[in-house]
Amino acid sequence: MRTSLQAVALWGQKAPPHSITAIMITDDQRTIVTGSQEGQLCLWNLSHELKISAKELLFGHSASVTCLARARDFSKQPYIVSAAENGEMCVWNVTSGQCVEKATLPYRHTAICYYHCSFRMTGEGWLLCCGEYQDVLIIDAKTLAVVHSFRSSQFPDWINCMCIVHSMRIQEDSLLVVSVAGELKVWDLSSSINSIQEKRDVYEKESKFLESLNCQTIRFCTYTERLLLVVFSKCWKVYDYCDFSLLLTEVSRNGQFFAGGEMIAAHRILIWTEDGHSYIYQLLNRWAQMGAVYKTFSGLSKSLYPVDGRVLKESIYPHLLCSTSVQENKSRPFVMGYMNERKEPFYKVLFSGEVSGRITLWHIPDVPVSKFDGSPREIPVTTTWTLQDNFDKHDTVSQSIIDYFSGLKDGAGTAVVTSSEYIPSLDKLICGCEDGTIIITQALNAAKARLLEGGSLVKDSLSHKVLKGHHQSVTSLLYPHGLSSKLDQSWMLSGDLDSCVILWDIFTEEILHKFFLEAGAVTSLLMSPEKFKLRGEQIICCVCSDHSVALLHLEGKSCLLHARKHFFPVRMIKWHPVENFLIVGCADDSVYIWEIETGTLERHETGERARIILNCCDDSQLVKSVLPIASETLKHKSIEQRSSSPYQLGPLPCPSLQVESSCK
Amino acid sequence: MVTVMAATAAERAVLEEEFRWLLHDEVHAVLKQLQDILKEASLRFTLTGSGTEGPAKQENFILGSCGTDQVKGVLTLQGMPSDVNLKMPRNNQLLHFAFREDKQWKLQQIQDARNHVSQAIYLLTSRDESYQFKTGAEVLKLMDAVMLQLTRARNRLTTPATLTLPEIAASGLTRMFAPALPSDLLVNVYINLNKLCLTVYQLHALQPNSTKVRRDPWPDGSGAVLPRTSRGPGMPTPSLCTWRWGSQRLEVSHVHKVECVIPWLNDALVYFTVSLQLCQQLKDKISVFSSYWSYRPF
Repeated sequence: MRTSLQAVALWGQKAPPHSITAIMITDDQRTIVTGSQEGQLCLWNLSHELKISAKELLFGHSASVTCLARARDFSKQPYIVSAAENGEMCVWNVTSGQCVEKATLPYRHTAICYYHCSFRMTGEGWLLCCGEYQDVLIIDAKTLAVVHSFRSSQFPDWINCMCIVHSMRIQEDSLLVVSVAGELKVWDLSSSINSIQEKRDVYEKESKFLESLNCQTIRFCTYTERLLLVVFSKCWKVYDYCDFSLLLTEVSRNGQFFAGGEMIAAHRILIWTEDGHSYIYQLLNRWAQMGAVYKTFSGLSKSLYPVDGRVLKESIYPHLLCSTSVQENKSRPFVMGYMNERKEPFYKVLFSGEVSGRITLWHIPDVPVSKFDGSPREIPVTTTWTLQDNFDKHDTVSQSIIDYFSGLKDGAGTAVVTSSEYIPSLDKLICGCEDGTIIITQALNAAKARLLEGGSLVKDSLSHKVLKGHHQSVTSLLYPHGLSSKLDQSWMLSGDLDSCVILWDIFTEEILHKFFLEAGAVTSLLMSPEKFKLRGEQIICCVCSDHSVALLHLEGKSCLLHARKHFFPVRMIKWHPVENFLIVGCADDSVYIWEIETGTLERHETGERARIILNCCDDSQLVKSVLPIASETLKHKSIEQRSSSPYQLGPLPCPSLQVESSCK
Repeated sequence: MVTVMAATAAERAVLEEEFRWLLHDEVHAVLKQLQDILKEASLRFTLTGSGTEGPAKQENFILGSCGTDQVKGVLTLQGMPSDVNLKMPRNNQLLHFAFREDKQWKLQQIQDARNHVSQAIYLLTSRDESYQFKTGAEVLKLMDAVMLQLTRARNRLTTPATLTLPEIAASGLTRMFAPALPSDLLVNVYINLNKLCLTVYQLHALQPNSTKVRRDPWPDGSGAVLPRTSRGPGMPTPSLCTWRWGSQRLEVSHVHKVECVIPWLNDALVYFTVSLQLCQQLKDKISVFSSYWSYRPF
């Protein structure tokens, strides 16, 4: 039985970062779903008047979200699927916000398409996935297990984009994909269902080399059932679906990079770029414009369907009808999409999500027209919104817990807390501030006063101490006694932006010692484990922003070792008590082994040896980082199935904490 | 406190000037350098096929080890290996296998590494000289994305996938040979760092009532391990292992491993390392400024 864990989140004034990497609108046009680099998904309400409001933040991924797609027939079950950089996949119910299924596969997806043919398939449908692996994977939409795959007989390669073509005429479905090498491949979809279910090899029906690279989107025109739009980063092309002959190529101007497109009506195309601009083109027939009858030119054309009266080969050209207005000073890349509502109120919506966390919507008119003089009309932004807008709309707890003590008068702004530490045994909350002061207050009383009793607080009733010793923002704090009861209860360490580490006596408020490391900001303060003692005492380890590691001996008030040779950020610290080694694991998967007594670098290992060394030692300490970076050592083909435990949790105010994944 | 702030006001103007120079000039110089290096790296993974004509790079790599080891292979790489000839003495017979003409087989590691490099180049070219970076955070995000691709490219070459023996048996490679490989031989080809490795497993079937004990194998570097539920810090030497294939219980009686250094892979790995360092250095330069104005959306 799945248990649901509910937690209460306290939001401050500032919204959490949400750098949008994927965006979609659900079929009922009521919800916008965005996936972010931080690993969270956000559900936004979309009202009938096209007003946006953030609804929920879903925590389920520990790496950047790569794509979103619907995972069921939306009218039956409002499920969507999200995939992340580290292979995690989650199926969410967007109405309740619950995660209904979760799996981690050794595949990184860049696009997912849902497919279900109820009269030929059993089960809930398939997720056709493509990404940083060869060909197309078929994953069961309910269990998230790999069912089978579509294989290429010729030039198997990664696939950039896919689309499912449903032909009404012959009631057959096909899968069209374009590979990274620019090859278009077609697989029979509906007629391969049996083969797939019986795990027989399914190869492509045909393929064609498209002579352009970096395909972004492929779309089939459902209105004409004839045209195929393929958007590359530097050009877009229209093909005739019947024989894949090239009808039109339009190259990008002004150095713009195309990011996607859609056929929004018969002969009408919407193209959007990486910097958020979009253009609507009408495809016009050149000969018809000239007033010539097709028959005169039939000898020149290679039309396969003369009965339909249209000369198709290289005779259509795009006419720019409209473009959308975009606010300047936006940073790329934008992720965009287009949605066509088939129910009331029949909106055609172009939407975009940005790295800054902003969503913008444009309402596309049913019949876009250019201006009277033929120049393109501009479509204005209909609505734009961010998470911060939701925060600004509501009354927030405008002051932080320590504002009363920070020495600032009313109206002078709030003290910015840059690091904090809670000591349960003493009921103390230690806050390091941006101006270098450290404030120590009674934790529970302060929280109670701030949150429960509101503003009617008498300042003097809460005792607090202000420690002044740093001149720059305090970046890290450590209370040694909390980690090892053998150490002095009065000791506290703080590190600041200027590489200064101060050892305090928190009872007498005096500075016991100052260490000057000259290594950039002190990003982390750690302590060696109990069994690792040098000269009878556990050692303090400081990780600095220049990637160096300093070891401090508190009793002797000395710096034992300053390891400065690391090129890349430090990710892990390990201790080897027998040989007195400090083992530093860096972000480039290499390991530096330092001999503490002599202060020399004993060894530098990379690759497999580094991995073995890190795995061998116990007592590793992970160095906290703001953005968890996905582990690159994927075990190929080892499929871990984890049970899902749905929960929603808001972020905790201190930005340096990692949020644990929902699978525990 | 007030005096400290005033003293740094003049400094701040200088810092802003420096930061502006960094964003407008230095960043583009570094990006250009990265592009040049990665384009060199991608040349090493020459893309052949898919309709491009042009001289296909044909290199024959001879895999063989000195001494009495009996396996010798000649692999032809056309950007990607497509042909392997194996000479294997067995029971004092010399067996010869060659790739089938009608089948194509590619080393996925090289293809993946090449695609990752292409992605990194694409990220860099989309921010050419005409693009103005507005904030340091933009540069950091770009560097993170490029470093991610380069790390993945490097890992594909340095970390061959650990395939289990049943997976090797089921992989396409076994079906690539003409004449067909005998059922008691398994072959695996993979890249490890800058080396192309060929491993041949000689199997023999156990008697159905054999009570041979299954021993926990340590990956012998060949990339083949048995599926085990627990894998502790293992024994240093490879040992015999048994597994079930169909109705038979098979045991690996012998493992032959030969390898050969591929020079251009070496170059590619060096390029990756240099590029990663360049990216990290640029990130460090930008981060220095973040400490000076953390109150601004830098």
